[in-house]
Amino acid sequence: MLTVKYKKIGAAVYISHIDIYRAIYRGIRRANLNVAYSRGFNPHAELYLSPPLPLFVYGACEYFTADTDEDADVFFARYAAAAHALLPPVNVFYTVKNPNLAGKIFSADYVFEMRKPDAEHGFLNAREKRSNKQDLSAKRGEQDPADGFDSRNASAKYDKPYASAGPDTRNIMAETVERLLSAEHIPYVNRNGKEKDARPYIYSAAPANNAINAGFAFANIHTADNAIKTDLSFTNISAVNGTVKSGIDSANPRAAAFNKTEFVPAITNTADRAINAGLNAANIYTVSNAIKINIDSVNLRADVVADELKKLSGVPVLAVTKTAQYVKTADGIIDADEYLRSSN
Amino acid sequence: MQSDFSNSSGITHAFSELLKKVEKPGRYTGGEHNLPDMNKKAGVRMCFCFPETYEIGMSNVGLALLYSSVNSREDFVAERCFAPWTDFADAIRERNIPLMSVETKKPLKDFDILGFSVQHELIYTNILYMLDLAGIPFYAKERGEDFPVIIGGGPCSVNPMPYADFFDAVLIGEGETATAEFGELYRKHKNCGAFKKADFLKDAASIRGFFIPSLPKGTPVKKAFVKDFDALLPPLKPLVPNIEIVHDRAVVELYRGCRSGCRFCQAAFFYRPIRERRLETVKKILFSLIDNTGFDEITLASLSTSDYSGLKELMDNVKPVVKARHINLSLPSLRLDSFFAEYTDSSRKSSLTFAPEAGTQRLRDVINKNVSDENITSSITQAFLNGYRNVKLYFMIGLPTETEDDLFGIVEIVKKIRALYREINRRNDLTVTVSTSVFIPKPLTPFQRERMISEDDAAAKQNLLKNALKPFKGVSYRYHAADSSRLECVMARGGGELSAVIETAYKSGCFFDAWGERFNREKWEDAFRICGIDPSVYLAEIPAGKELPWDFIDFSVRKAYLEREREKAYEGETTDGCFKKCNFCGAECAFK
Ligand code: SF4
Repeated sequence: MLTVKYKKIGAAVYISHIDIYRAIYRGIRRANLNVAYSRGFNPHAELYLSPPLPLFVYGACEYFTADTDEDADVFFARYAAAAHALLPPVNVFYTVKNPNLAGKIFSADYVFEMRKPDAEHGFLNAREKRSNKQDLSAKRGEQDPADGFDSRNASAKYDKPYASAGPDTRNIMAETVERLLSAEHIPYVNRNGKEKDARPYIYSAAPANNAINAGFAFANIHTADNAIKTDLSFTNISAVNGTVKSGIDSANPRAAAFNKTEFVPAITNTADRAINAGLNAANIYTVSNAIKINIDSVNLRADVVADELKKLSGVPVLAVTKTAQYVKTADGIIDADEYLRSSN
Repeated sequence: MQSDFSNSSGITHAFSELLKKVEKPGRYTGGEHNLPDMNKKAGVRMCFCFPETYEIGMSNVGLALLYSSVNSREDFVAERCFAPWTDFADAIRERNIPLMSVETKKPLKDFDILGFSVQHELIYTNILYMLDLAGIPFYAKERGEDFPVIIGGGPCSVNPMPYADFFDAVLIGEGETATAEFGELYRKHKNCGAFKKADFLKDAASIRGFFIPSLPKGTPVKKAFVKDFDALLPPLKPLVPNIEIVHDRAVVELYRGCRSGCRFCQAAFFYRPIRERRLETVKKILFSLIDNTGFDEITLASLSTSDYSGLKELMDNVKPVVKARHINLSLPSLRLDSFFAEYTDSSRKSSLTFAPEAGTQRLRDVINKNVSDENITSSITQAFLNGYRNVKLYFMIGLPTETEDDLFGIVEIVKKIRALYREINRRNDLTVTVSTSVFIPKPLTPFQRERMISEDDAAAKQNLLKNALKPFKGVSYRYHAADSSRLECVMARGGGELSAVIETAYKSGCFFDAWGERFNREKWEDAFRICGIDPSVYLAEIPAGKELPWDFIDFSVRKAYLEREREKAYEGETTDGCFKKCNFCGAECAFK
């Protein structure tokens, strides 16, 4: 059994779980990989997906398992070359048995990116263009920084560029977290129409310190080629761990120069599309406009929490990303990656 | 208001908020696999507008072809826009956001050229629906230089008159090469300094296939078609939709045109001359589609698949590959013959679909449907031996010369099929579904001047069949009671005077008319009344010699040929298909 960890970014957040299954399945067929098929009238590839994400939630740590005898590295390389650009694979794990993540996942971390309190509602400037390059050069094992978002997942959260991030933003995030954790009862209506309390399912919450880590929108990095050179603080860039590198158009002399700096090409596979799309270096600051929350993902949906955060802070949630999933084992609650590594 | 939602994923937060208001956000996001480069430098930006939902539009082979052929050209970019469902329309209206393209979310009115695909007669109000949402005036004459050049084209270009005034130009015939020429000419005009729409359109009139409604009618407009069909490669990397669409599969066209000449069939005459793709070309396309799309179904498409000369060899070549890759190969519109029997042996045993169109040999001769009673018996026998248990039969009622005998003929066919099944299987579990549609006389067919039967007649015939089929177990009968087919007939055969009716109907709330439950008959009747137009005129027989609205088009198929075919119909005389010899219809078939 091979389990591929992948991301769900961009327009992929607007499609259902069954659509995701179909998109993965098509990627596997394009790659001409051998996987087990079901029997019966309409045979289909037997793929086991980790629990569904609600619509509008980005995924930095989704998983699918295929029953295959292909070599893990070969499988990954071929799949990565054929995969849907908005579901890029990031790693592969070999396990003896089906890890059954759909049943085993217990909790998950979500990062809720909030709008800066005084930012006006409005539409993005016209200057951004979209790139549709679908160059996937994912390499096995490449990971985002610890709290890292995918560059594209944030989907232009910043309708207005951030001029700066004042301490008030940080305070609002901290206050919101405090209110959330001190709430005794958070009523919501669950899938079955039952009135439930969300509070017991919220395990921990904390302001995410670094906006770049927490929700740096690549959408904002771009077109102003020269802006990169003049405006960008290297401290901040290192925080994104080199994702900028591959996105810079090397035909541009300035960009090429920039390219020479030593960045680890951590998520090159996803960066280039995004960077082409709209860099405005003035937007890259270390703002605290995000909150990371660990919840029982079986019993509570992230969108319920997003609604609550909006209520508590008065600030709309711009994007939600699942950044880690956890499995409960005899040894405690461990990250799904770790669980998969220990099951081979 | 600015409505550029584009960014790396094409979707800003504001657009995302909009999507929260709709039932199927995946219709509006783009981001499909195989999306061409939208960042390419392009002097001319086109948008193909499909006046139906995403799921229907993305299933259209013509759109995919045009889209990729324009995007593959230097200096050109083509985007897409589909008619949004009402939830999305309400959401953008409320916020004063003009309708935008799928790819870059650019407002339609900011494009250079908009190309509307006019697929059927009930789509006309949807053209206005899209223009309305885009903030674009309906009539070409009301649009100044600020607005894009807006063209229409597609199957309904056979009679563009009812909607022609909404467009600056209508492309009659096949679009693949003509659209490219049109785009090139546009680029030339644009690059020569001050672009003037009127000057450009005057020049565009000389491109084969282009009808410019604002210019006086002179020499006939010649239908455009792709001369070298084999050389015209379809997209080898077509878009793969993210959400489920109506036809979720890859399609390979085997040939254009049809060797049979059923006398009611518009496509058979409109898509002449007959042009085949070479076997090698078909294989190349098919294998590329397997590698590049990942679809689990591939359709070999044409008007009559059995007539493709390399079909057997193709199947021998392709079958092992599709099997190994877990792909289902579908061959719609197969004739019931020996090939069918052999092929179905190893295909999925779903239901057997078969369209004799008429219940008796006599009437099938009248319509020139080349199916004999023996064909039916032998092929169905084979299908039953291969394990089929469901049969779907399609017929038309209200065909010229039809009598009650022909209706009872349908019942006879059903009886015979049941008897065959019992004989072969010694069981009683066969299900037969009989569907009838009411015959609609269409332009560019031998029956183009025929009448459409009245609603009362149609109801009587439907009743007769309903009662006659009722006693048989496992047999069900389907028909549409008061449907929109009469409007279809009016729109198919009407002239420029209908534009006002379309406009009036749209303004009173008619759109998505092809969506059964949305079709509002009263509102349409009101629209005709308000415009002082009696729709029944278009349903009646058109006297011989009376000029037809589409007479100004040179379809290459001669009018005299169509008239002769009609005479032969009344004489019960058939015309052989174009297999062994040419019937000299006027089309320029290369093989004849
Ligand atoms: S009649 Fe002749 S020209 Fe016309 S379609 Fe048949 S073969 Fe071609």
